[in-house]
Amino acid sequence: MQNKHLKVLPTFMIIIFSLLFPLLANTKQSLTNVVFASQEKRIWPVQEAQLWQTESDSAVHTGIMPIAANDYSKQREKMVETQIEGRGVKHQATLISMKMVERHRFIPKNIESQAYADRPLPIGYGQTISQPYIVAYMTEKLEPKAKETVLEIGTGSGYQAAVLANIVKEVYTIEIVPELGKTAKERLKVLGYDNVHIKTADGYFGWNEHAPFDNIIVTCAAGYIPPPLIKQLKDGGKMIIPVGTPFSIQWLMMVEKDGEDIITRKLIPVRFVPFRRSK
Amino acid sequence: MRGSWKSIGPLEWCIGVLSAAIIAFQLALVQLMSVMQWYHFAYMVISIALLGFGSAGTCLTFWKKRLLLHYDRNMFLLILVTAITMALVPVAAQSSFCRFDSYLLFTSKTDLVKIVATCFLFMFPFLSGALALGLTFAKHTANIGQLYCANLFGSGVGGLLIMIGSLYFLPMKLTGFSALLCLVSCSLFWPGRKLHTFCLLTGGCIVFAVLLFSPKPVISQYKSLQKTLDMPDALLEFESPHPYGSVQVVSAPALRGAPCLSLSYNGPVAVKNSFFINGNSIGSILPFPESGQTSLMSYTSDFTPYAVRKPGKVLILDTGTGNQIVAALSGRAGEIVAVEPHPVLADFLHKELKKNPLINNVTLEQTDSRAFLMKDVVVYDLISLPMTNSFGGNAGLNAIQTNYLVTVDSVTEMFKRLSKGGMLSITCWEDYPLRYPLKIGATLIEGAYKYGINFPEDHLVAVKSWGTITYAMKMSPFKSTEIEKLQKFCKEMLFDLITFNDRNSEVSTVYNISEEDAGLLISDLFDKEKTNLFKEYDFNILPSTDNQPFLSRFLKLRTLPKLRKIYGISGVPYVELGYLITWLTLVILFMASIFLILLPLFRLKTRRDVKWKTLLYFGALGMGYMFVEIIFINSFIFYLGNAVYSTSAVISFILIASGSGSLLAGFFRKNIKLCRCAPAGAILFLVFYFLALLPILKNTIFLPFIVRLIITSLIVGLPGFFMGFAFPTGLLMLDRSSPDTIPWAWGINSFLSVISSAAAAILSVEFGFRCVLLISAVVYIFPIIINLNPGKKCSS
Repeated sequence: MQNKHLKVLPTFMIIIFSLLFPLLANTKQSLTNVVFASQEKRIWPVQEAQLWQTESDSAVHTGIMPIAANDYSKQREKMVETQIEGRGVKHQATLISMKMVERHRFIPKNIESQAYADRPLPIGYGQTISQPYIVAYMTEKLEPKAKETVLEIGTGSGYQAAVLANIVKEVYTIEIVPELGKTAKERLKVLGYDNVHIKTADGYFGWNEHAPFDNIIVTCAAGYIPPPLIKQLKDGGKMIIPVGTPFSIQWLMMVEKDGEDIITRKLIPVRFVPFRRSK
Repeated sequence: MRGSWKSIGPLEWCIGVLSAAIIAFQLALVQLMSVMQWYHFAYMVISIALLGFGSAGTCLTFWKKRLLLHYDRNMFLLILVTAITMALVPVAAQSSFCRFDSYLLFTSKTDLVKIVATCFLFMFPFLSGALALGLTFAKHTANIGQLYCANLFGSGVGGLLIMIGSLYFLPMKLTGFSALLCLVSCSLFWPGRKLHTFCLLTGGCIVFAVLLFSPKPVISQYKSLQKTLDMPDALLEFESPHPYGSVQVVSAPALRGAPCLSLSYNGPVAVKNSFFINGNSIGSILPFPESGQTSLMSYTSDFTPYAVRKPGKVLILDTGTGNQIVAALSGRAGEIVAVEPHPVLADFLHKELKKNPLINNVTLEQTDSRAFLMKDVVVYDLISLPMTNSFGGNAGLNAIQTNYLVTVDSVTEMFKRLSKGGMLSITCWEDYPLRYPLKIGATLIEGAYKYGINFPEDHLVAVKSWGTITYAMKMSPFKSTEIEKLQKFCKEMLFDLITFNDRNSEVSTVYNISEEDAGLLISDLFDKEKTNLFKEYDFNILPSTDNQPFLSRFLKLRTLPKLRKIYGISGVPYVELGYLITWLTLVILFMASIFLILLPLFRLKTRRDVKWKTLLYFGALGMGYMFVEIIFINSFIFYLGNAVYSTSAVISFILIASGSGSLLAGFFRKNIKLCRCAPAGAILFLVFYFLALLPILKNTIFLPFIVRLIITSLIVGLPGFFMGFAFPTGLLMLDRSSPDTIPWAWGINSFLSVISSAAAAILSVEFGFRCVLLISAVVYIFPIIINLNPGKKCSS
C-alpha cells in the first residue's frame, strides 16, 4: 500500500505543478484591440501601458548626463515606427517630435540602454518617465498647433514637455518635487528647449500668470479635477487627465471646454504594471 | 499532586501561558498582515499556524524518543526559541528579503518566492511552540486531561487578551507581548545552569529590544497611506491602534479632499488632512457648513437626494469622515443622525462638529450601522450609505472582505425605515469594466422587489458625474416635477441623469461620455428574471446578500480563461486580486503541507485496512472543524462589528468549548459508542444554524456588546463542545485497534485543517456561508459512521 502511494505521489505532484505553472508563468500579452468574446460582443480592450508609475527596480541617480557617444537614432526611429505608428498614432507633428526628442537624455545614465523600450522607466523620487506610446497618444489627442500654449502638470524628467515644445509655441510645466523640477529645468536648458518654462509648485493652482491655455496635460491621477485648471483652460480647449487608482484599470479622460459646458470623454482604459520601488 | 484536578502546578501554568502566547501571536499576525497588506491574508496566517502544528506532529512522530530523553532542557529551549522567533519573525518579515507585495505577486516571481519565504518564516514560532506542547502531552500522558485543559483555556484567554490589547497597542507591539508571554512560560522551565541562564537572558534582551524598539510595519507601497506620505513635506500627524483598524492622519501642503467634484465648481479646495484606516484612504474631514450653506459636497453627485427635496430626518450610515453630514447640512436637512462604528473616527467627527456651535441638528452615534438599523425605530426621509469603492475602482482587493451594509437584506431593512416619500442613496466610483455600479444597482433593485416594490424602475434614478454614479431610490415613484429638479441640478453640475421608466427615456448622456453605456446595462437589471444579464455578463454582478456579503467580489471562475485571453495572466489580477491571492495562498499551503506533513508520514508502516478509514475520519474532522471556525468568524463580523473581535471571540470560544468536549470524552472513554455519537449533536446544531443562524444574529444584534459576546459564546460553544468529542475518541479507537496509524491520523487531520481555512473562504465566496455550514454538517457524519475499532482489540 505504501509503495502504491509512493508511485502515485510523484504523478500527483506533477499534476499540481502543471496546474500551477500557467499561474506562475509571467507571460505578457499584447492587449490592444482584443475583442471580448461575450455573446453581446462587449469590447473590453485595455492598453497595457505605464504612465506615471512611481517605482524603480534599482537606485536611481538623477542629473544631467553627458552627451552619449551613441545617439540612439536607430532605436528612436524603430520606437516611433513600431510602438507609436504601429499602434495607430497618426498625428504628423507628434510623430516628428517623438523622432526628434532624444529620450535617452531624460533618464538616469544607468538605465540609458533601456530608453527606447516599450515601457516607462524610473527617474527617481518615486517618479517615472512615461511609456513612449502614452506620451505620443496624449500628445496626439490634444491636437496641439504651432501657435498654442500648453500647460503640463507633472514635469517629471521633462520628456513630455520636450515633445510638446517641438510642436507648440510655449510649454508651461509645473513639478511638485523640487529636485525633479530643478534637474528637468537644467536638462531642458542644456538641450536648448527655451520655450519650456518650469516652476516648482503645487500643480493644483495651475499657472495663472500665463493663463488661459489652449491645452492642459495632467500626468497624475486625483479624485478631483482642480477647479483652477478648468478656469485656466481656453474656451474650446482640451485637457487630458488620467482617472483611477494605481493597479486598477484606469482611464485616460479628455475634458473639453465649450462655453459654459464641459464635456468629459473617457478615451482609453490603461493598466499600469507595478514595479518595486527602492527607497 | 500532579494528575489531581484540585491543583494547578507550574507545568499547567507553563502550558496555559504558552498556549495563550501562541494564539495571541496568531491573532496579532492577522492584524499585522491586514495593516501591511490586506485582510485576505488572515486565512493565510490561520493556515500557517495549523501548518506549524501539523509539522510539529510529524517531527514528534519521528523524534519523540530523542526529544523526550532530555525533556526539561528541550522544553526550555523550544519555548525560548518560540519566544525569540515570535519577537524576531515580524521584524524579519519587514526586511527586503521577505517583504512581498500583494500587487506584485502576479507580476514578479521574486515576490512569489518572498510570500513562500514569509509563510515558512511565520511557521517557525508555531512549529516550535507546538513541539513544546506536543512533547509535554507525550511526556505526561497520565496528566493529559489537565494539560489539555490548560492548553485550551490558555488559548482562549490568549484570544481574549489580544482583543483587549489591540485597543491600546499596534500589531507589532502585540507580537512582542506574545513573545513576552512565551518568555514567562519559558522561565518556568529554567534548568538553572549557567548556559541556560545566559540563553534566557539573551532571549529576554531580544524580546525586550523588539518590544521597545520594534520598527514600524512596512506598509505596502501601493496602499494610499504610503503614496500620500511620498508627497513633498507629508507628515504623519496621528496614529492610533484599534481593533476596528489603526487610524492614521497625514498632513501635506498639497493634500486636498474633494471627491469627484463637479467641473462647474470654481471655488477653492482647501488643504485638509487625509484619514486612513490600516493604510487605506477614507478621505478628509471637510469643514461643516451651517444649514443651507453651500459646500464642496453640494457640487458632487452625492447631493442628488437633496436636489429633489429638503429631507426632514436623515440617517447617515458608516459616516467615515463625515462628508455625507456636510452634504446633509448643505441640503438643509432638518435632523441628522450619523452612525460611525469606529470610535476613533467618531471622536474626530465629534470634535469637528463641536467647532461650529451653530450646528445643533446632528446626532452622532458610535455603533455598528447594521446594529443601529435593527435597534432604531425612527422613520427617516433619507438614508445615506457610504461610498463603496476607491477612486476609479480598484483591483478587487476587498474581494473576500464582507460588507453587510450593502446587501439585499440590509436594503430591505432600510426600506422599512423610510417614510412614504423617503429615499435611499449610495454613490460608487465608475470602474472599468463596469462592475460596482451594476452590483450595487442589482442589490438595490432586488431589495426593492423583496420589499414589495413591483416597478422599481419608477423608483430609481442614477446620476453620473465624470467619475461616479449615485443611485437614489425613492419609496414612492419619482414625480415628473422631481425629475425636472434633478435635470436642473444635473445641468448645473454637468452631470448626467439616468432614469429607467419609459416616460423619461428621452434623458440621455450629455456631459460624461464613457465607452460602456452604464444606463443601458443598469436598465437590464430590472428584468425580473435577470437570467440573461447575470449569466452572460463576464463578471459576477449578482446582488449581494447576507449569506454572500462579498460586494467587492466579481470574478467568475468560468470566465477566467476569457479574461486571461484578454488581459494576459499578469493582467487578470487587475480585475480581482484579492480572490486570486486567496487561491494562491491555498495552493502554496497545500504544497507546503504535502511536503511537511503528508510525505514524511508515508515512511511510516501503517495497517492498510485502517488507513483509508482513518483518512476519512480524521480528514473529515480537520475539514469540518475549520469550515465551522471560518464561517463563524465571517458571520460574527456582522454580529460583533469587526474582524478582530470576531476572529478573537470565535477562536477563543470554539477552542474552550471543544477542549471541554475533549476532556469529557476522556471521562467517557469506556463508553466509546456514546462518544462516537457525540458529533451528532454538532450536526444538529450546524443544521439548525444553516436554517436559523442569520435570523438569530439579526434579531439580537441590537443588544449590548457584552450580551452579544455571551450569545456568541453560546452559539459557537454548543457545536464546538460536541465537535471536541470526535478527535480524542478517534485517537482512542486507533490506540486500541491500530496504534501505528495515529501519526497518520494526526497528519491527515493537520493537512485538511491547513487547506480548509482558505478553502472555506473560497467556498463561501462561491456558494455562501450557509452552504459551507451544511458541508461541515455533512462531513461530521463520517466520524459517526466510521468505526476505527471494529471489534479487534490490539495492545494499547
